[in-house]
Amino acid sequence: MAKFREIFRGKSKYVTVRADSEEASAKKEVPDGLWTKCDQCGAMLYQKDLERNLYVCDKCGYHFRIGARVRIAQLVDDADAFVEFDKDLISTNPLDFPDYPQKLNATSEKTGLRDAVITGIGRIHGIETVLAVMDFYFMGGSMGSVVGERVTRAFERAGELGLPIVTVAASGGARMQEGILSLMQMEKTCAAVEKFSRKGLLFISVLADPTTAGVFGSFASLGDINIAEPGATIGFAGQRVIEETIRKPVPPSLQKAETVFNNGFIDMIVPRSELKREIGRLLLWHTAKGPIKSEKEAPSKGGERENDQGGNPQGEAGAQANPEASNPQGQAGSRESGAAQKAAASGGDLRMGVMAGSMESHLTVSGSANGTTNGPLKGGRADHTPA
Amino acid sequence: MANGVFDWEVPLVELEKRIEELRRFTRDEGIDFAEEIATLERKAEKLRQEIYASITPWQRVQMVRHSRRPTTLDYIGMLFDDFVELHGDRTIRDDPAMVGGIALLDGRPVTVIGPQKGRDTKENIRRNFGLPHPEGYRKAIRLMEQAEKFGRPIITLIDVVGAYPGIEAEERGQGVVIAESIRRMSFLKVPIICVITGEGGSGGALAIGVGNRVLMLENAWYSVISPEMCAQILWRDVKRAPEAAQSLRLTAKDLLELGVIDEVIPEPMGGAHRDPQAVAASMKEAILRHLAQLDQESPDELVEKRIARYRRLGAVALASGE
Repeated sequence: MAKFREIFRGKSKYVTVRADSEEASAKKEVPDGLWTKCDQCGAMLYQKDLERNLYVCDKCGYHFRIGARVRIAQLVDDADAFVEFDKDLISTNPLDFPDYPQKLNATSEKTGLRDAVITGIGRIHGIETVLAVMDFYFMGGSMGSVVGERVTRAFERAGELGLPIVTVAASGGARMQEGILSLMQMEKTCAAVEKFSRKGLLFISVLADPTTAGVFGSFASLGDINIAEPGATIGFAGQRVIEETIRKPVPPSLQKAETVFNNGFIDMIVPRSELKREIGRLLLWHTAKGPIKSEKEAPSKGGERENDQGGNPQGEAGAQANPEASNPQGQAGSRESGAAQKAAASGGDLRMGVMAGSMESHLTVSGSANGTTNGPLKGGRADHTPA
Repeated sequence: MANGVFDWEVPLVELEKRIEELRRFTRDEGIDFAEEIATLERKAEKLRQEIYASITPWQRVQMVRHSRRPTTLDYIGMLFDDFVELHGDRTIRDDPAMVGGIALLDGRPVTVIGPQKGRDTKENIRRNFGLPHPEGYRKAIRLMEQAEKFGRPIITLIDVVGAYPGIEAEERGQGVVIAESIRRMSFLKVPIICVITGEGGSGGALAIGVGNRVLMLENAWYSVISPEMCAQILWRDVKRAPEAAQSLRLTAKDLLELGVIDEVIPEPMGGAHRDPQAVAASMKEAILRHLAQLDQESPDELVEKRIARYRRLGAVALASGE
């Protein structure tokens, strides 16, 4: 191992993400008045509406991919109060893989991130929770040593602190450029999940688009409760690899969240507008000391309540006592577009408005603001292993 | 490659043929070619050294795909006194691409598990070219947990390009099963020795590759992705696989340096198929030696040390000047 340490001691110079370059990229933020075309239905969506709608198409319900910072802002009560772990950990080039340092630098500049996951601690409906949120726009959300180490440490810290953990996967798999060491992160994270789990603490795994290969084949599959976002691609082998192997086309639905749900690997599919509320409810049911009041009994009070002491998330903005909306399992639930969901979404609007604002200042202060991950991005190379 | 001979071996093999001919003449016709034979043998040895001193990672990848390379069941036959194969995942079916059971290692019962390639086309079709489905991994998990129950050490012999990329494999949760196998294997309270005998392809290999010791045959490869697939994804050109094989650092020597494996088991020049018995003997010696060490550890220590072994793997640095 001594040899190993030498390897990365020498190489840390490869990644030189500076605060000034991050600020520079922040200026590339999506301007007001821009229209975005929905990838699924082709509808032209006003950027501000899309943002208010948590980057979900209000015409067809398509869930755009979102960066880690946007996701965190959507999930925690106060993005300003989110304390990030292990920000200083950066990737090296342990195999001397061609062009890897350049790729890391370029993707760091583009995203303002140091690697493909952000970990830290925040409150969700008042409940202190450790989060590990992946960012697909950083080299396809691929898991190399830094991602593996941050995720492992997040589980270790949550275990030490006796807190629940929520991970949000968005990854094409293990990072090729770190070769076998990326593969080893699968073991590291799986072992970390199990160690944490043996303390009797809750792990909620959110599988966003996409959750594939080495990340689906490790910690992301192992939640006490696995939640998928509607329409997310979830699977192990890449579609092209399957097609080349079996020499016939693969049905496009094979690796859709709804199919994976039907096959029994996902507990529920939750639309983004409901995600925070659903996670909050599950966190409460696993952390509350006394009896818990069912949401069904309590009338909504329109989002006036924000509990700080692990309180009841019931009555969150617009979360009506609608059994379907509060139990959005399966395809039907996820596609449900009734009044309750609309109300939830518009309730979310108000909260998002505030949060997006505070998010901005948080990012500027911490010197890691980044416009390009603040909105839906297209493309994003998937530097991942398909199988 | 033709008739089991690699292109780079052709001059050597031709030389070996001539030596063999001269020997036959000496034997059958009573003509003495001793001097010629000695000269040619020196020449062959020099050529052999030259060829195998500069063998590339890509050549090694091809060597372990040799049709006569010993398979898991071949090694099981050579390593153990006896073997009872057990079948089925108790959910869907028995996966012939993954074999496992109880074996006697110098009289001691151990559990042995490994993917099984076919030795001819017919067997390859039956065994799905050694590419396991989720039920193969579920069978492996079942047998490993059975080993733990009876306090038997676990030996896994790994030669797998990867988990099978197919529709049914996805429907039955290939990713979930692999994660589950890795997680459970990490916490088993018995000694686990993994030997990568040929191909160590990604998650499909790691799923049965979490050990207290990981040993590797000299020409075997172990990587996050096969060189072909890596070249295809990175450069959209499968012909650049030799380059990918180089960049991925997937050889036994590389992995020993990276701390991923614990020991390299030597192969005869030209590959394991040239002398399977010798390879099996070296492998058995190494397994027994490591097992004797692991026998000194308590069940809890075995788990702790196994997890610690992987916990330290990875290359991270701290950003400077922040």
